[in-house]
Amino acid sequence: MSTKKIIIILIISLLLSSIWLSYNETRQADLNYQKNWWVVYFENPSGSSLNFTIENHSKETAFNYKIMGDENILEEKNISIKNNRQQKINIDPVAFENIPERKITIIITDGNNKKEIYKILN
Amino acid sequence: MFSFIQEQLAFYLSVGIVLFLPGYVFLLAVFGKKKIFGNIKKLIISFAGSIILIDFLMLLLGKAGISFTRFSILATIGLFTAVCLAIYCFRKKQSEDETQENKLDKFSKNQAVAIIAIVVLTILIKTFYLTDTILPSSTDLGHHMYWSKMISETGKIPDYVQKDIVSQDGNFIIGSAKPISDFIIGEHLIFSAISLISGIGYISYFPVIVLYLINIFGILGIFILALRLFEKSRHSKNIAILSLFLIGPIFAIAPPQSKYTGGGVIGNTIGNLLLPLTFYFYVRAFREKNAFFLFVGLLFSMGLFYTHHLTALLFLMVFALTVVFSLLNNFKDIKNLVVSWLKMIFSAPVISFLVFAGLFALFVYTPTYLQNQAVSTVIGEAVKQEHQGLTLTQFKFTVGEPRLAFGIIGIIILGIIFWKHRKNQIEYHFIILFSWILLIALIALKPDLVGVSIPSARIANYGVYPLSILAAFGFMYVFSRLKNDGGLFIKKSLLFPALILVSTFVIFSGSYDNAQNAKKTADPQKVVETFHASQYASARKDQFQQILHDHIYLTADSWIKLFFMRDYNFPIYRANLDRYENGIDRKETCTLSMISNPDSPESIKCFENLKINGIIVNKKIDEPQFRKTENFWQIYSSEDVNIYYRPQL
Repeated sequence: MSTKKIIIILIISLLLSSIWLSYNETRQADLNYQKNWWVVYFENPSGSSLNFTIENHSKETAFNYKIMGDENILEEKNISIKNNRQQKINIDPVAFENIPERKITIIITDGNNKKEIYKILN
Repeated sequence: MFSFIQEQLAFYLSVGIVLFLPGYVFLLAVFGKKKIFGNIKKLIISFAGSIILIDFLMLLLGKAGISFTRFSILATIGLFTAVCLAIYCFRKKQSEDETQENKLDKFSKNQAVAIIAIVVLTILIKTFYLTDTILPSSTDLGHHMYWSKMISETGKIPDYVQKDIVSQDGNFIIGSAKPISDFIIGEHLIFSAISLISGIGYISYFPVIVLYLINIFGILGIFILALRLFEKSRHSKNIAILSLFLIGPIFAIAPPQSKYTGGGVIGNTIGNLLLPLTFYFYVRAFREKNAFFLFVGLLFSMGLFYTHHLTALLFLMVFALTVVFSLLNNFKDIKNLVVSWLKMIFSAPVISFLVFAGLFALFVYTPTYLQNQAVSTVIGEAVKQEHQGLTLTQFKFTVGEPRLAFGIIGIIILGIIFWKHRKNQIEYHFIILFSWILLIALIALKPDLVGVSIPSARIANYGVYPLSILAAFGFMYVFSRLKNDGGLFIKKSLLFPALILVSTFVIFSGSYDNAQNAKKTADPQKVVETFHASQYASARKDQFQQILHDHIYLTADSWIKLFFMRDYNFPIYRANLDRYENGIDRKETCTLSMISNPDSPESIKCFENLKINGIIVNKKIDEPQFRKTENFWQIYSSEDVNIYYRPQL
């Protein structure tokens, strides 16, 4: 048998295999494909701004957030975020200007899971 | 979907341009129209040669002060192709030379089917394993891709330096840039070239797929080397096919196979492709007394030195031992032998290459490990525990039990044949295989006898290549002798069952090993969470003076630096605990303390001295100690990753 046939089969096999691997990597790198997670973060890590974003890559769509000043609830709200969407929540700085509490914690739940971020302001 | 197809086309086109074209036209230029190589060999040698040639072309480009861009790289390859084709056109008037090669390149239908079946099965098994590891996450690959990305971004050959934490006047500072000897330019340039030409980013499938192709071609390299070594045997093709089987589908995942591919062990993987082909050219040069083969062999040797120091060192030792054994083997006719070698060495192609190599090393680029005198660190007594040698059992499991068993049989039989024919001719195949496996076994089992300090398991992994050839020879020899002279040791009627029994043992061992190694590694969700957190921090990099992250519990953490491209050691990281304990790898404990106990006086001092205000850790493991203190803000939280900010207090 000609070695050309061996080479052709080798190249086709490598090509198919590489395409399959590339396709799988693209799916695995997708923030949503077969994944179930969400994330919350402050827009501005260093300053006193409390604006935050919830990015949803889970099946849940109903979220609740509470802004706590130490143990006190300062604000609470239900929000809906679809899969692969994010919602930026702007906090009015004036509303929290004169509160005595130093640790401002933002607690977000999706009914099952809870996550929080906080800043300890002077 | 359209963008995926477009990206794929760009990728395969750039692979063809970078990893085939230069090597192919170079072979045409050097050997003209002579039928020196069969089609399979031409393909494999073109691929391996391209890796070396691209390195040299890019190093020349860098030395000339021309920035690496898509255009400059394509233009350089284009110019090189044109020059090689011009030489080829000049040479093609020479008469065609029908050589032994034509016979070696023709396989029976059964043999061809066996080759195809082995190759396809190998590809299937490796694809199955890599499907779960294709998302870039391995530590080594992350480290390497930082440098490849650096080359693409700056358009220059990088200075391999990093800034470590050092103690100065009782304080900790990020020290000045110090050279790193762990990286070699040849490990990075092909990735930079492919990325620049195709436009594909580094945090993608492409680095692993390129390594996977190199691994497959490395396996085929063993096939053509076995074919060449045993060219005088009527069983040469069957030995080569059996070698392919022993290095391909069985033990297909364990190091140095797909584990190295997915793990980004670039230097070793390229070395394992170049080393057999280097031996291939030397065997042809010495047997056929052909200076052009020596020329290409020297080029491949030089490629090894610009790609992987460990493989280059192994090559040097095997080569030296081969020369010594060859001289001893032909001691009575040593004068003629030396004269025939000198004739090759003092030929126009070899002399011109040696001049080129000398000038290149002196004026274009000297490998970093030679500049930093890192060679001295591998010569001498083994200090680290993992350098102090394996037990025989560990060695057996590293190279695969059946390969070792049949390999030992193979070397004994070859030794007997060698002894019988020692006065008639030089048995280069025996000398090379013997020197190759002898040195690997000595360094892996008794490194002190050789006086080198290299990770023993890593050097043992090299053993699978010569052992596959030796085992194939041993297996073929035993069963062909039994078939022909049956009755001496075993009844002919028992031969077939014995063959089935031994084959079952070989296949079972190799497949069991595949199954053991095929366990899923990184969870894609954890990987994308790390990348997302890195993206978050890099998008706000102005707010972070210095970042610390964890290596122990954070998935794909070595890739974080690719989001910043500020320094090889930015962000700094908490290493595996043993790195702080062995007194060699980590001489500071700031990085350990700042994550493990962030509120301790030592950590507070480290944070303040080093100006670290961003910390990326695994949420499930390292959250509690950060929550206890009021010195940190939790600014980012996902399922597995938390980021803390440390405000100036």
